[in-house]
Amino acid sequence: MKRWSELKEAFWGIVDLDPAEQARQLAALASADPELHREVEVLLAADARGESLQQIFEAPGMSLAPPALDAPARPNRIGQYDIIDVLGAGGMGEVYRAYDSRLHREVAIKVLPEAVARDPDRRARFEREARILASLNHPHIAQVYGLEDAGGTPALVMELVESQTLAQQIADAAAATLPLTAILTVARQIADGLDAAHEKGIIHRDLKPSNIALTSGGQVKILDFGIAKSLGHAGAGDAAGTHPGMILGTPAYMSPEQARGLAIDKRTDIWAFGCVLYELLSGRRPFGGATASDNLAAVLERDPDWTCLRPDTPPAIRSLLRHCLDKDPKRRLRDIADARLAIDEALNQPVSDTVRPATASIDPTPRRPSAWLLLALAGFGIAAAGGAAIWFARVSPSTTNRTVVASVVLPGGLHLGGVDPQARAAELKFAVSPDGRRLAIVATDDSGRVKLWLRDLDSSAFRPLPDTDEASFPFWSPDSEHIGFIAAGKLKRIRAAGGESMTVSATAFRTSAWSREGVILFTPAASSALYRVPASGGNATPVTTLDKAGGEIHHSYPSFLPDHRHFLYFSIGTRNGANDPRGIFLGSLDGAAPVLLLPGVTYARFANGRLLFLRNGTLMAQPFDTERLEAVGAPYAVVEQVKETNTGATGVTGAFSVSDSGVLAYQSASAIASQLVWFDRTGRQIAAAGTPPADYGDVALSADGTRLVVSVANPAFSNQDLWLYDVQSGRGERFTFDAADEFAPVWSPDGARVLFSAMRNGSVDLYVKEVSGLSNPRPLAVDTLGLGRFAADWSRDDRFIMYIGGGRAIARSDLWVASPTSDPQARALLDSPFLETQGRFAPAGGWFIYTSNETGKFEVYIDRFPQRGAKRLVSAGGGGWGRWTRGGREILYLAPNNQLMAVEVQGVGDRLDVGQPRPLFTLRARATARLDAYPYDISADGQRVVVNALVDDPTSASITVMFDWTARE
Amino acid sequence: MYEELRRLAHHRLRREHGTLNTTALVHDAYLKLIDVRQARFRDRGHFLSMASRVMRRLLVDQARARCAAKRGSGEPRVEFDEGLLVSEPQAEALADLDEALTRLEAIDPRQGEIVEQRYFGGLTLEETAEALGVSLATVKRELRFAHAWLAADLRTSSPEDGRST
Repeated sequence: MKRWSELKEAFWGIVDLDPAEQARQLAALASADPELHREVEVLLAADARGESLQQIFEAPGMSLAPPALDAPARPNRIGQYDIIDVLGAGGMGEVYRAYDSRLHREVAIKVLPEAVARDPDRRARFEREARILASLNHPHIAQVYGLEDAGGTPALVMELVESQTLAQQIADAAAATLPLTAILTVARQIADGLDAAHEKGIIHRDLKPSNIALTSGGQVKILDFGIAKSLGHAGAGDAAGTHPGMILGTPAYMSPEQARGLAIDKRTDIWAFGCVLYELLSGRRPFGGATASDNLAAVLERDPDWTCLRPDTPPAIRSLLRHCLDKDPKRRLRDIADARLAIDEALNQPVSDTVRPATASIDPTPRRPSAWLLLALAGFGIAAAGGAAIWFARVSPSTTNRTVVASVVLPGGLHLGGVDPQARAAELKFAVSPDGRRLAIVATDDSGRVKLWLRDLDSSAFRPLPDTDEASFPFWSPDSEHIGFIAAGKLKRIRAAGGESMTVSATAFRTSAWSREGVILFTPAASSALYRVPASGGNATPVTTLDKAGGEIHHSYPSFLPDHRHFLYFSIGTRNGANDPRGIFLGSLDGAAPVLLLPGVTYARFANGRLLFLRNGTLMAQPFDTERLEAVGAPYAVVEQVKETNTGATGVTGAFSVSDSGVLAYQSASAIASQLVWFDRTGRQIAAAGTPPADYGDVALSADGTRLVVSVANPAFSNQDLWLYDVQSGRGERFTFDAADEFAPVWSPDGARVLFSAMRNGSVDLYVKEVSGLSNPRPLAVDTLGLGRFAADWSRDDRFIMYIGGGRAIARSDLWVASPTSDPQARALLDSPFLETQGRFAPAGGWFIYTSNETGKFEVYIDRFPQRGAKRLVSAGGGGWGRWTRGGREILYLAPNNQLMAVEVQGVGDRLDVGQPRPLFTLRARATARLDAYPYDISADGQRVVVNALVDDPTSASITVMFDWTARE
Repeated sequence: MYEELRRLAHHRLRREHGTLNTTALVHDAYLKLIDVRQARFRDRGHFLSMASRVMRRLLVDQARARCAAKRGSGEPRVEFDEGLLVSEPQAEALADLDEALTRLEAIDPRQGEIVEQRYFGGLTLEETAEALGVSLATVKRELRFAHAWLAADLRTSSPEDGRST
């Protein structure tokens, strides 16, 4: 390829020369090598023309021939329309403002590009579509008035819409300031317009914010309906600039099937609708990317960042968004009318009676929770709006989007599960009632007696059910009035309200299910199929048959589907003499052939349109169409690290139970689990509602003692978040939502804000966030040295915050104070060669305590604030994690042997007397990952201590209850 | 599926001390697009080259399909939409460009790669330089030549009456 290199060298050597020199060189080349000269000349000519390949990627219909010199002049008149003004021009043709001299109104006229006009096929198609479009008469669609002939080119006469488009509003960040109801109303109008068009078989194909206008009256007008296709150009007017590689029409709103070049239908519009709604609710596109390639990859492979949605986005809208943006068109929301329904619900409007009855069996939106949940939320300041109210309607924004979890801790002395080997092996030790209001729990008391206990989920009431001795495998009747169980090898039932138990079947082996028609399914013996028996007692008859030839030996764990005719069950076989769990099958009472649904899975339940099952410790949900009786789409994770225990004979089963109302109960199997436990000053555990076991880091109690803020490690995302917990009910909600690690939370004195540190991009900075949760965290002090700022305390008089600076460097940390306002003037409080940490202001001011290793050992010190100079030792023999309590009259700290020590403080001012440390009790707190993380906090009166305690006894581990698990998609 | 991807990305992020590298995440998505499960990319540059190649194939396939449908070769079974990456007028030009680029590649593979990465992969000049392991100046120089060559080639291979659609 020597020739080629010569050509290149020649080209490069000549191309940038000035014309005179160029001519000389070319002449020389012509005589030396005529062929090369010819080729170089061609290349030089091409270079001189300045043609760019870019053009192929940017403008349609552009050939590499030089552009025409004469552009068509603007007409003065088209038919009865006087052309006033040019509104826009581009690949779409020109758009003019015109005046209809007959009907005396202004209109918009879109003249098609020549390219379209000259192609008879496209022209015909365009006119066909224009006719259909003209028949569309809807307030939210820009009306098409007619078709005109503009000197041989078709021109579309349309309603003149002169408002800003949503694209402009989003760009101006105006959307962010709109109230949620306004945004939802806009979305509803879009859905309405789309629905009207879809009914007529018209697909927009290019829905995006720049195609949706919003009049000053708040009315939506969808523009360019269906025109995009015929005009042969989409994306004109897209703000994104073009550069090589940036293909025509930003693919940001393109659906996956469009990107793949597959057939499109109205579901493509639904995808685009989802993109627009997402953008309205978050201010950014769901699938971003700097170039078209990035966009494409995002659309095809990436999930939108759901945490970017504004915090007051209702769960039903989040659910709607997920269904609109499902990459699989078969799984996607199929009808835009369903979107309108969902939005209506969120807006608390009566459902329009022109809506077709929903026929889909899949129920993507969470059911309305029963009245008790509304009452339960009263603790968060929500006014329950009557029995039929929908919970988003008047809900304060701070709670709508957070997954509410609570923990059921058994009272002291009770252990979860039974004692005899058979019962202990059984995983199903608890069952949620179908109405989600109660948990039936198998528990053993100190004397070894096993009974069923009932725990009310809304009131924490916990009581034993008499006459349920040796109960196991609890299950509920569909009306939540009765509980069935197996005791001493018999199948029994009892009223949840109490009373005598009744034997339903004399022999029973494994768990059961109860249908609406009073049919109970159960497994009578170790190697048998499923049998049915009337709930009122009677003869048991088989409903499934074992495939003995295929090695099946056992069917169990039945659970009904909503039609209460079909049911799921688990089948075990043998293989090479060992037990071989086959999987979950679908059976039916009328004896139809069983269908294998989930191979290898041992336990599955159906709830809210999905199959729930465990896989490798993760609770998965698989959407399931109950009409076609098949799975739809891919399963997704709901909860990680759910406890599953090998029951030996039958393989693994999962410890979870689910109601029909969105309540999920499970046992967490988190390896690094700790739990927040309350103790009194003597070290006795107080039987208060706890929080779920989790990987807790920091613990901080609000000044009024009603709330806790904690940092929790989130195994699914490898990050830490802050959570708020209500001390009284144990109910918690997530407080920070992004991917960064947040920790070291500190309450403001009035409990309205939380100061904390967050690690982003390698730097640890201070932030303040309002507890009411509407706003984003506000950065307080950005660390420029890369050494980190770790929040420590907030003075009671609201004048100072304290933080540990330099905590990321070993032995470098110092204490700093600043003001809590957004422009803090920080100054060093303690800046010594030694390590200072764990600083706390005295409640009444004037002093502060801290921990330092200046003697070589960590000790707690006290000194004056703000001017130091009266330093004294508080701890003796080592200590750390000092806290003030009892209004400043006592200091607690942790001694090296994990004993909690108390030190009395008397006097005021310089005459402060620090007493001798006295031990209170030994804390079994888990080790903290950060030196400044406190494993405990104490109430203001000094009477109650909350400890981040290790969870060690599996049988006393708590049950975690998650409300509205369907929001975890 | 994406969960694994995200975890993979997160582990990478963790190693990089928490710096959020969105490009890495997107490139991880590309890994799935290419479906090269066992592929080991030598470095970022190698990865970017692969991604550009994929993009080119994707676009050109679309372009050819549209050309075929337009010329009526076979009943178009699918509806094309203007929201696609390749609109009808572009399709022909893109298909022709691909042919010309294939010709160029055969003579000068590196120039072919540069053009592919710049136009199909959307890489910046710097990224292209990085991907190929050459200097920025080299990229600019080669690109200029390639432009001229392709433009000339396209001109001569198109019918004389122009290619307006």
